[in-house]
Amino acid sequence: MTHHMEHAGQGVQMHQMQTAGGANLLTDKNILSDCLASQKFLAACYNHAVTESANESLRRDFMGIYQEEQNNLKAVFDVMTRQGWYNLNYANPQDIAQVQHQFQQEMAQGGQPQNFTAQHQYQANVPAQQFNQYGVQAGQFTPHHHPGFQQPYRNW
Amino acid sequence: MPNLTQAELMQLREDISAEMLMIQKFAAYANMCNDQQVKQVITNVQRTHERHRDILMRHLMAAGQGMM
Repeated sequence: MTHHMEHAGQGVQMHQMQTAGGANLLTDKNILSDCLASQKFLAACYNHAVTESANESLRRDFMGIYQEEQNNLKAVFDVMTRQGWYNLNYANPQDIAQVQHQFQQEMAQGGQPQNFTAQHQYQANVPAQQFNQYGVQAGQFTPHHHPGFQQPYRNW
Repeated sequence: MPNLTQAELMQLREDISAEMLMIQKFAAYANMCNDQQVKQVITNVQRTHERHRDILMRHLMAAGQGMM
């Protein structure tokens, strides 16, 4: 519900920006960034809707719409990438090797949870703004949640 | 017995209103942008939102029937 209000608020702001100066203040890049944010929001909505559905035919339609919203997101993402408006942040090879090593060791030890020291060491060696395993920075829900997304646009 | 749960009704209400807002927003964006490729993808996405609204509206309207 907060998200709805947020989106409505952006709509009003957009209208004012357009009429006040007479000129269009949103660039194509701004527009696609907001489209991407909207698609992420919708995908999250439908993911939730599927989990809440007891009615089989409604659930099937929510699943279909969820899939299409994900495809829309990808289509917007692809245009942004083609235009060079979306910078991917690749993982540091050293960090990859470290995680590989960590789980290889864990599996060699019979899949037992790691001891505290090893876990502590791993976290200490990871840079502060590192994305977690979902490609999401902890504690935020922003449009920047696409895996590896750099923030060239704005802070929400 | 109505064939929608409270949770489902809430989802329908939220998702239909979200789709309706997106239809308007994407239409405005399609008019505002300069690049043809950008305009095309926004227009395509907007059409899917119209279809989604219609699908969800059909569920909402069918739900009341056979209830009374």
